Amino acid sequence: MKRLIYLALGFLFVFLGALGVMLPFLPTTPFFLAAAFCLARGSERFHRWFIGTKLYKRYLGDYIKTRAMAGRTKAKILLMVSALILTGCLLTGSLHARIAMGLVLLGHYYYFLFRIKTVPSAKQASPSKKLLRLLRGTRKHLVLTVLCRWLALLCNATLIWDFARLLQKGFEARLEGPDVIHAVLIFLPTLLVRFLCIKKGTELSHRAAADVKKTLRAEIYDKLLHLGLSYHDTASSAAVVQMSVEGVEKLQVYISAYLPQLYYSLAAPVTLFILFASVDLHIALVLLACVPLIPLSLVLIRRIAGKMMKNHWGQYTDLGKNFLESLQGLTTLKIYNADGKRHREMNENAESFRKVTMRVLRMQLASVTFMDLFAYGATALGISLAVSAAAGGRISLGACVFVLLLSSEFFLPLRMLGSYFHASMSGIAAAEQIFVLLDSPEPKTGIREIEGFDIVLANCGFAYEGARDALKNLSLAFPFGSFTAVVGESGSGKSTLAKILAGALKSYSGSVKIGGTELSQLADSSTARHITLTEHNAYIFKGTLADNLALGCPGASKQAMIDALKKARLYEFIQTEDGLDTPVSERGANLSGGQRQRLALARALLHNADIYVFDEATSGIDADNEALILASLAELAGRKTVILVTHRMKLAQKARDILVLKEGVVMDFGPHDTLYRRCGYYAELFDAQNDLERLAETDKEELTCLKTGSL
Amino acid sequence: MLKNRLSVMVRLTALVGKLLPVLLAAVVLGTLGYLSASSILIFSAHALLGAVGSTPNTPVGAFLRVVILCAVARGFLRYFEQLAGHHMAFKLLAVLRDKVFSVLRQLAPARLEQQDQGALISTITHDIELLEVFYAHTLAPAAIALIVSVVMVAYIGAQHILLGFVAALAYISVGVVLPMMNTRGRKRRGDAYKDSYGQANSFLLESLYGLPETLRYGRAQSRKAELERLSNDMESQQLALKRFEAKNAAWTDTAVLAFSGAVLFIGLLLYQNGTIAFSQALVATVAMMSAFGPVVALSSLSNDLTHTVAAGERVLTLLDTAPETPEVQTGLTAAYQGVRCEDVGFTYGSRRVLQNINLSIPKTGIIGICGESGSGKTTLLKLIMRFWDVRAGRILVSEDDIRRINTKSLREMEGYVTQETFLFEGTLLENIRLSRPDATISEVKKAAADAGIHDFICQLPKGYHTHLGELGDGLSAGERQRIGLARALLHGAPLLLLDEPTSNLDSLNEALILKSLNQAAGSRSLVLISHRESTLRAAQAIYGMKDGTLTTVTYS
Repeated sequence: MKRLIYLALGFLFVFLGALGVMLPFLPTTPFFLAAAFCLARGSERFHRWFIGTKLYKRYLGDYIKTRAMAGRTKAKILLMVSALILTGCLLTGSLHARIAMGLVLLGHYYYFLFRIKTVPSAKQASPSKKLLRLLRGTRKHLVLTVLCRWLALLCNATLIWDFARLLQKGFEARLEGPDVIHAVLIFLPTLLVRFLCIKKGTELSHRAAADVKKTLRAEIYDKLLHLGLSYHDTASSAAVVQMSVEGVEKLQVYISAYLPQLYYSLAAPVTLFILFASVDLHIALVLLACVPLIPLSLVLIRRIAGKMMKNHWGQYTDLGKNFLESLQGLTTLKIYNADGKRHREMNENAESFRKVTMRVLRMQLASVTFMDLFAYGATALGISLAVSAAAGGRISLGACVFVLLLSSEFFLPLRMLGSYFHASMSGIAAAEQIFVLLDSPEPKTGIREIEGFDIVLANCGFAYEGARDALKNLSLAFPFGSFTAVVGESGSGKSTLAKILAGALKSYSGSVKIGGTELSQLADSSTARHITLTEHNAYIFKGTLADNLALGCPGASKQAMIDALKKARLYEFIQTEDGLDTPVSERGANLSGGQRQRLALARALLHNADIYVFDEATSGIDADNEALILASLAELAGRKTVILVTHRMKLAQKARDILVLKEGVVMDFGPHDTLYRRCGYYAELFDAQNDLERLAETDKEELTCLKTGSL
Repeated sequence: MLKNRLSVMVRLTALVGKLLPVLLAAVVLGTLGYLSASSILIFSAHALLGAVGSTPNTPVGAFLRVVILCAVARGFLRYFEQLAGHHMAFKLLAVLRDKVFSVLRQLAPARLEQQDQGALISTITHDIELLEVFYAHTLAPAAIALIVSVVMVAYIGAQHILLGFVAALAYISVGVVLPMMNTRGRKRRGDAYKDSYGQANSFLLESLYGLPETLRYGRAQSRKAELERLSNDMESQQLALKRFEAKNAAWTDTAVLAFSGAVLFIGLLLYQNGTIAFSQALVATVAMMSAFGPVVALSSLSNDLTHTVAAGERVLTLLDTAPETPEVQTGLTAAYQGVRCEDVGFTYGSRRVLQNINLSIPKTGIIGICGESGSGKTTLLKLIMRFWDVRAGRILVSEDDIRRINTKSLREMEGYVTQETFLFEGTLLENIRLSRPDATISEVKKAAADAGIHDFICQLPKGYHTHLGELGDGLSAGERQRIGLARALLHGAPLLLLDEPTSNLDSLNEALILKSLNQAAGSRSLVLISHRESTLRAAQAIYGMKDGTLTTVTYS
């Protein structure tokens, strides 16, 4: 029985609370709280239902538990209550009712401001919130932007008011000289202020965007530096480039157009409502009521179109790129008689692309049309009401003209917001990606300095994320001054080992000690100073040859550079060019693959490190030069540790020791002669390659007895 | 100059061709849309005047219904205008690309093999996009703005001629004068911004790709400082540009309001004089304020017409170019029996590239050509491919003059591996199969194995179906080279021309490829250009080339 009463009371309070949402003079929160209490006592099932509702989760749950609410929730409730009660006040004519409502409102404010504690919101920050974090430094610019736009709106209203007043005077046939002068005196300064406001507002919005973009670029680069050599684990380099070059630029629209417009399009209708209310409250209310229709129509359309857009957007391809590619590859196409086929495909692509795009476009246009329909429809409605009011004599001609010329301003800001929204979507998506990168965990860096150069691996292993082990249980030593080659088929873990030794992969298992210190505890600057890894695709920077060499050793003398170039067999080439001042384009694109590798080798030699790791660093160099370079590297041994990763047994043969890897496991270790006798796998690899190269060798012998003739 | 410009414009308009009705539809719908937007205010003003008794005969109720109708019509008119506009834009882009590609197919390879080919291609691609913007987003809005303005000037002029004059002045200032002033300063600033944007971005790109080297050589801080400097520079250039645009936007807005004010003041003055009725002054002001939409839209487009005309001219010139080596379609279809060059000479512009070349390529075996770069080796191959025609002497294929053989048949006889291999967006399989679309998978694999790239492809997660874009850092020069070779081997032509096929390979892969070339040479002839001795060892006869002539021959 008792439970039934509780249950009935609970529902009564729910009803009263719901009524309170509709009717401005009833308190809502206490009712809902009472409802929660009664329902909890009354019935398990309804209690569960009630605490499952959005309303409860968002507004009541925390409060009941802690007697405190999030600041945002408090503000939201107060704002809603204020709006409802104020609307009620405006609608009713009775003074008593107004006083009652005022008291209720005061009660609300007292209760929420003083009786309920505030808890900080513990929700995880959403991407847009993180963006706001970036805006911190430049928020001032954004606030000023909105202020400028708002002032410009006020100027516009003043001008229209000025016009309307003049017309009213004219209509009443009371227009005289001073009136006109007065009007002009208002007109000109207002025009000037509006000019300045528009100019300054636009400038400030772009300044805000510029600040954010600068910060983001610096932060991304900083992050990558901190992620260090392992940044490939987090994102592919193509994706990083995409996000930091184009992604950052895409934020321009979001920050300079969308954000200020968002706040302005809230401020504008409210301001106009207040202005219009002084003319005629009913017209003002009708126009204000129509404002939410625009975002609502957008939401509705997006719901309907969302699925469809998603289905079709995947088919989006860049036809311009496709066309450019067809032109660039035209010679190839002609050689193989494939140009006709490509042409047909191109046209078919264009046609199917057009169809898909038009379908998506129709949806987008429909949403714009809906917005237009509401915006213009509501404007027309407001104007009609104003004309009727003027006909009834309730408002003057001037007031009606004021409404007529200004009512569209209620909706224009929101319509603009809608179009900016589409444009800034890609920016928001880009921002999300950027924050994923910025928030990715950084590898721990050590602080210790290298104290010796003997390398000792114990049970060292490595596995790339989601892949099988690349290296398993490696235990061996590379003493200082040794010269070791690492061989094995592709996929045997050679390059992984090279990267680990150079400190580029820190998440290895087991132990790698350099001079007695664990590699992962060494400071990055220290490993960079003493260990140098040179890969087959080492990056060559734009500038001159000397610039690239100076990277290895800033302030190296010209002679030192030339010596290094000689060792790397690049000196002859640069003599035919502009010497050390030979220009180099991005990625060293104006050099051949072999020349790039030789430049990278020279740069590494200049760096004068103590441990050198070469990973297929001579793969694009012809055999004769390669042999000479290898001789230079062999010279290093003794004074430096040299580790040479190669798939060419001919090169490995010349090393003091050879490490044979197979599927991440050490097969054998030792000098060539020993291995060739002892290790079957090694002998197999060596013989297979030797057979192949013998072809050229035999030809060489024949070539010694060649006949030379003149034409 | 002006006449030239005009003829370019006329010819460009002719290119629209069948799409002209769509263009017209977009213009008509757009005009009606803007006029109905203006009508909302104008009819309201009339209704108001009727309601307050200034013009007692006005049917107020009917006018208000028209206002609502216009508001609804405006939305739909705009929808269909945009639909027509975009329909035209996409169609047009396809049409233009189709036309240009058809012409370039005739011109290639001769035209595209010239030094400035990269520039030509990207210019043309860019030009076409510019033209599309011109047709779809400039031509129609300009026409709409013109028509709407004329209608409004006539309407306002009907109230009083002086007001009409002011209105005309207003539309011309906002739609023509201000944008023209805008264009001048904008171009300079735009170029400055583009420069700094390019610099900053290429630096950023380098910093990312070169990150390992930057860290390895301890240059992070200096690189970061430089990046910040360039980023600052770029943003300040962009701000300058935006400041300029902000100024223009503010000027446009001010002009709109100032001219509206002018109409109001003059209208009231005329009313005070008794020249016009009060209603006319009011209607003129409202009409004036209601119809700036299309001209403002035009001013924000503010497209540089000179650019467009220049782009149009380039495209038209290309369409007019006659091919240098027209394709032979009604000639001979021959079976390959070897190639003979008799006293072949070739000049490029005024530069003599080849002279007195006598060379015979037997039906089977390998011929090597060595020589310094620039000695004319590649040009000789291109002549045998008939990218160009010889200037002196003749080239005989199977004892027939190359100029009499059907181009299609010639291409089937000859395969050509260029120095740089061009790979298309798509899978590796598609790229290799380009030379013979009906080849089976096993044939493709065989060709790849012969080119020494099969093992590399197999170790990729998706093997032959690997998309080129998925290959993170892309393929190395050596890998590209081997794919190009696989393509040529799959093609199966009896004559294979190879231009530096091993220049980026290590000796192991070189040996591998030479082995398969040796095998291939049993049933066809190969011409091998290389500066590597080790590669040339595979040839039975090696010709030395110097300054465009063959000097020595070596037989092994």
